Amino acid sequence: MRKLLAFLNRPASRGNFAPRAANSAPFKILVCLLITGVVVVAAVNEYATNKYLNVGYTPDQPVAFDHSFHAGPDSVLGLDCRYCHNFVEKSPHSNVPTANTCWNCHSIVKPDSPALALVKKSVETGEAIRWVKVHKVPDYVYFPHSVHVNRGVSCVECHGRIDQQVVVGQQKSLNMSFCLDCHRNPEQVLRPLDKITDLGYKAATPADQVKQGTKFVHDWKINPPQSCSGCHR
Amino acid sequence: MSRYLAFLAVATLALVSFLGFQGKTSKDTPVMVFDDMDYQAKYKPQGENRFFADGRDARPPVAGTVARGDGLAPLTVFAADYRRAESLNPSFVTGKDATGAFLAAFPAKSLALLPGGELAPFRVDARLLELGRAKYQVYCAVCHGAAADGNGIMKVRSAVEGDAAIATIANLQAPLFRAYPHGQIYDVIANGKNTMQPYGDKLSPEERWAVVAYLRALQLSQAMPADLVPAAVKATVK
Repeated sequence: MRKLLAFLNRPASRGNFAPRAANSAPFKILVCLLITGVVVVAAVNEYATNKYLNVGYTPDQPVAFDHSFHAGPDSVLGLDCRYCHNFVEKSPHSNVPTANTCWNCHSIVKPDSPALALVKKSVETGEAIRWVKVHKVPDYVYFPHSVHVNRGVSCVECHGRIDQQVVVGQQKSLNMSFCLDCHRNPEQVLRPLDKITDLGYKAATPADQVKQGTKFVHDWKINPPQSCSGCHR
Repeated sequence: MSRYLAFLAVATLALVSFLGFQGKTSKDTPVMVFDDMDYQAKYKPQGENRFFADGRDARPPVAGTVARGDGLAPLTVFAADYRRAESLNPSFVTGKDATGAFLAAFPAKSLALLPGGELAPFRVDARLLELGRAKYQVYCAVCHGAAADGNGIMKVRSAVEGDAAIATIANLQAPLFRAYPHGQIYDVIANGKNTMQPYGDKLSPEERWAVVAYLRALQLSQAMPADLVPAAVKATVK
């Protein structure tokens, strides 16, 4: 480096107008610009994406519901996702359960627990519990839950291992390329319909997954839209 | 040059220490860099709405509203030749016959309308039993257990926690519930009983009948006379 600068700043054979340091200025500017460029590209790549902006969003909820205790075959209670999110197979919107749903069990299990005070109040007065929405796509994106879960796309593909989370946070980026990854290669994720809510399920090998996925794509005539109007209206 | 690069290094270090890396958890609402139309002023399912006193987007029907289809099949609701199957076949929805007695058998007609305006027959077949199995395992097995013997996870946990719930969970293999007419079991699913809350909001009428059918299958399976069990199966049962 030092030798290179000395070479660039070597005495000219004839008289110079500019100071000798100016000889190496273009080179120095180029190096600075390059390094700055690398830093900016790295920063944009790291930060200007849902993977940074949205993933990890784990807000406090009004009622500290613990999914890892209640939900999934590996949990203590082993409830199916659909016990509470009961419209997921029928409706585009997967519902946050009503307080009545909590009360199916909690009317006889710890009904007076302070942790359930808000739920009890909601059951008695009909006042809504203000759950905080975690997984959010822009309002011009129309994601129908029922179509996906009825055609072999598990909850886990978008929501991650909710059954292992004490407080629910966003685990997947949910940006457009995330959607398109599956829409272009559905055979990578499709699973048997009775494993939809088994979040820990995995085909024996990646090759098996592709094999069964390809079969489902054929049998269920799966043709995920890749056009704008598939998801945007 | 070295001064600029030193500045850049310090600035990068400051940025990284301030922003962290991907994957960190945060309780703050995500930043939307360009939020063009990401948040639109429209009514959404289970959305919040400060205009109404109860804070909800969803409005309850006005008192006296007569049901006409449901929100899951909006096209049928506004069809000119719409006929409400529930009013044509009320016992399918209530589980009771015209005199108010519980149906002893499964309803003969379903809620599906044939093109001629007739109700399609209601078939208790393998498809219905599969539907019943799926629904039973999600909604019923929690308390009543996979074999309908009342040993669901609720009972197990109640024993662990010392809750009173343990005494109230019905063993559906008991003679009392075997003797229930189909319609009464349907009625309990739809409207609840004692400490059991209603499941009518979770199961459609057809799904409730499917669960009744599957429960009957479970009751049969637990009271099978030994001489009816195939020899090959008998060898595997202890």
